[in-house]
Amino acid sequence: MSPLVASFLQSAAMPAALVTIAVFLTGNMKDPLRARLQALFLGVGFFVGTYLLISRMSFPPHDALESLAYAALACAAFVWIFPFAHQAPYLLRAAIVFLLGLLLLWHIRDQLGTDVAKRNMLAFFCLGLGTWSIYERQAQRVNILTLIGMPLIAITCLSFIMLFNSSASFSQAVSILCTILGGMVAIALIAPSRIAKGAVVPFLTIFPILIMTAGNFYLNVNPWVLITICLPYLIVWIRRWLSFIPDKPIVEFAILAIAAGAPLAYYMYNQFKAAGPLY
Amino acid sequence: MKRILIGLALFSSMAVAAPANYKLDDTHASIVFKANHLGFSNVYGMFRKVEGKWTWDMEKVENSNFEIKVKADSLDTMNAKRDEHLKNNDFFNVKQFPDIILKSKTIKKTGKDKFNITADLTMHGVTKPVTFTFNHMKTGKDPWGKDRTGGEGVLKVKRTDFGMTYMAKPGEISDEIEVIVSIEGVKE
Repeated sequence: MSPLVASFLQSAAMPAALVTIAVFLTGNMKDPLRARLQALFLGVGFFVGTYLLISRMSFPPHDALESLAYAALACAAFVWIFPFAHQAPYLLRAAIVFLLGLLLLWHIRDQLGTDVAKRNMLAFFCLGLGTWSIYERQAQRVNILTLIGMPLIAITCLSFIMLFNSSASFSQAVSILCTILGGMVAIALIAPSRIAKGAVVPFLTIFPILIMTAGNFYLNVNPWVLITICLPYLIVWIRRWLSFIPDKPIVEFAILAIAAGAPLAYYMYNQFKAAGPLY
Repeated sequence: MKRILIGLALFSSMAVAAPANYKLDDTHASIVFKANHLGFSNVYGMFRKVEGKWTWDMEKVENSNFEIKVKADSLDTMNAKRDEHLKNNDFFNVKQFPDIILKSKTIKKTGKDKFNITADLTMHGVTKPVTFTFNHMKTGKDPWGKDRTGGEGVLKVKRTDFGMTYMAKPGEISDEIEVIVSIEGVKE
């Protein structure tokens, strides 16, 4: 078996399968316990997947990848305290975004004094907080399939962007998140009521934005590239103005996914061409 | 006569070579590494920016010491895309860990111009001791009258010991990396 396939099966597919089963089995519980447990499964699933990917995990975190693994646990801890979406005060959420950024960028703190770095930190802070807040509000207005499926398009693009910028381990870490969210999409298709929206929202918003921040600061990915792949979030944001789209879960998701996915597919093709052949 | 003998003895003790300080000549320093690629072949690379200094005591070698600092960002394997990959977080993570430092701990003479060196190697934010043999090549004046010394050592480093775990399983990219450190220094 190819080492890449073996690595994917071990670090992404196996944790994702376990998380999916655990989320499905706890789906009949009542909130807030259900939201707390499901967020815990998601956070621990990503943490374990990252550990299996990089074969190390130190405390305090040694580098950005380890920081991301701990950030997943921090998102789970946040849901444990505030299991209902929209429950946490705005300022508290801003503080959480700031602390997650601090956790990620602490390793290169001596390089963050430049104007460009300050501008980008502010941009990603606003993007993270904005996306999180908008999504918590939209969680009550769109189907769970759309809620999970649309960010999955953006996160899949993020995985490719990481690969085009020569970081296989970042790309594979994002693919762990993709696979776990793929499992959530499967549940959303067969038993949508089994997923607690409050549990998944941080993993669909602030967490991917945090990974994008890592892409910018650690891999020098152009922030405009990362902002562009946030198109699916924008479409979910303006969903209520697209009243001609039916509310049926699969139809809604299919139309919105095509609206976001088609231009992004072309954009990713151009990014691939610009990156040159992957050796 | 006794006074003359004592005087001669004092003079001879003064004439013994004192420890000399050397600054690394970066134009004549090569840090070359070799990694096996999937078992098919070896890929060679080098670091273009290196600095260092050392104190060399020929009489009491154990009093000698050195420190060599390599800029991880200066890595070059003659393939830009591969260099970018090696500099990213899969391997050296140069943004977070810009320097690779080799600092001596103990130096023992094991033969004519051969020294057994134990040094602390700091790489990828991890410090581990490494032991290697250093072959002293020559000490003397260069054609421009400067005092020079130099030699070469080969280190074998397990990259997983330093947290570089990406594709380090057997049959992938070799865990053990051979590093040739060939240096010259000019007396300060």
